[in-house]
Amino acid sequence: MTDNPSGKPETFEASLSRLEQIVAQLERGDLALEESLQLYEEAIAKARHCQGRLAEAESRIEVLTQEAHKVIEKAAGENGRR
Amino acid sequence: MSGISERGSGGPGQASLFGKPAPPRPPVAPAGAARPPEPAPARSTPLTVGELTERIARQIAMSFGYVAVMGEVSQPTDKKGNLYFRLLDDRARLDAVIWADRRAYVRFTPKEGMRVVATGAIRVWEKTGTYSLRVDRIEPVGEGELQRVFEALKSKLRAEGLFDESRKRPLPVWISAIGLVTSETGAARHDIETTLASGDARVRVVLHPARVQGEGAGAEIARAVRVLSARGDLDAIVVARGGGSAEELWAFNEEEVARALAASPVPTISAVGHETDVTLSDFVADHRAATPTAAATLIVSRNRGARDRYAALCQRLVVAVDARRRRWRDRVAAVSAHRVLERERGRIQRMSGRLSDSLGRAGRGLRGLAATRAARLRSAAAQLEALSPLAVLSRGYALARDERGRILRDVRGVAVDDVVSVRLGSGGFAARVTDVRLPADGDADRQERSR
Repeated sequence: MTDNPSGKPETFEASLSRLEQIVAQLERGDLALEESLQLYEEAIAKARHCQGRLAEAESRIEVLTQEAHKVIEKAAGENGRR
Repeated sequence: MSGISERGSGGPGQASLFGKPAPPRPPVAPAGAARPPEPAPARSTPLTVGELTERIARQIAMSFGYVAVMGEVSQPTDKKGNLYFRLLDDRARLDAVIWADRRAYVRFTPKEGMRVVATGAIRVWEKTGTYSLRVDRIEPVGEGELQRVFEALKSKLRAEGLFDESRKRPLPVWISAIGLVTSETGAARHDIETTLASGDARVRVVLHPARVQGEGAGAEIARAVRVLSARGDLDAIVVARGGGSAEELWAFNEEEVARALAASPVPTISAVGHETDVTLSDFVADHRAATPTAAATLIVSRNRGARDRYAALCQRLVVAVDARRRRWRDRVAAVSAHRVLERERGRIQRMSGRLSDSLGRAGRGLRGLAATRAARLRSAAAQLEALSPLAVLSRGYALARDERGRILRDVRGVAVDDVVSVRLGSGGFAARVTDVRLPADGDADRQERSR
């Protein structure tokens, strides 16, 4: 359940919203057993997805030196043509 | 231009400028004898390009040795310390340059769109057949010229709708990666990284270094924004610069930067200067942070909010699971009290206990949300499954339905030759009724009727 139709991994936001919906449904408590079990399973999946996204997030810095150089070269090239 | 030929020094251009070359004159004195004598035919040898250009250069040097020109600055570009730009008005364009060695004396740096008076000498470039103004001094036409340019561009972009509130996109609920455009060595980078780290925002930062002041800075910033926004793995792009004078912050007022921000498919945050500094980037970006630190704080609080919301949801989920668990336990208990199931009571109560336990564990386990918790909840589901009517069937009972799917509880519901469907613990079959056995009382008349 971590994929949406476009094939990209589901966003944290989407999982969180779905989780919210499910919890609200479960809290209303008027569901059949089978239905609520399905919802539980989905809730667990969404919660794990969110948890995964939170856990994989880490602070780190990448510096795009290569791209920067390309930029500078290209800019220099453009100036040269003027 | 084949009509131009050498006519000696200074004489006003004659008809040949616009017509055919004057034919060689006869030796006889022409009618217009008062005019200076025509040059000899031998003198009409064409000039070389070099000769002509040299004369133009000399002429220009004589006429415009030193000149003050008023115009609007266009495309200022820094190349190896030399500042190239164009001066425009509604009729013409003049290339101009401030050489690197003059720039130390020229305190004012012209910006795109500014009206200036540039003073210097016109020089002809023979190789390219062009001329340009070598600028020694340059001044804005009036006070507040920078402000005027700012306002003009601001009105233009506003009219195009680039500042519209409806264009502003919210930041994602959870920001896991940002693109950062700023100087690699500047205070802005330091402030942002420090704030993100201290707030435990857990954000991956992809820094695209760009010069944030000086000629060409705007182009570098714009390009960095384009590069980052094309990556597809970032949740937001931050353009940042520490405080500085209006002129130092000017790159963030350049049209190219504004357009790159507007075109970004990823939400943008402008974090330029101090609280009081306002740049066009601030108007175009989806979000404006007063300082680079404030931009980082915005991200930190966004992520904190997401985490809190997530934690609260997990808590509610646990409570909901607990409540459902209790309800089912009660229902199972009620069912097990039913007379028909009396014999099975002990077994069902054991199951009920197990169900209750595993659901309870699943509920508590949700707090941690490790993989095993989900597996446990699934096993709880399996236990519930065992309590379903199908479990009863698996002990050897069968369920018969009539052709309309109604459960047969009474033999009076069928007749010989009816087709009934029979469900077993595993699978089922269809059967034709060959015999109907009524309960002891009323047996006979029932049989009569069915014949």
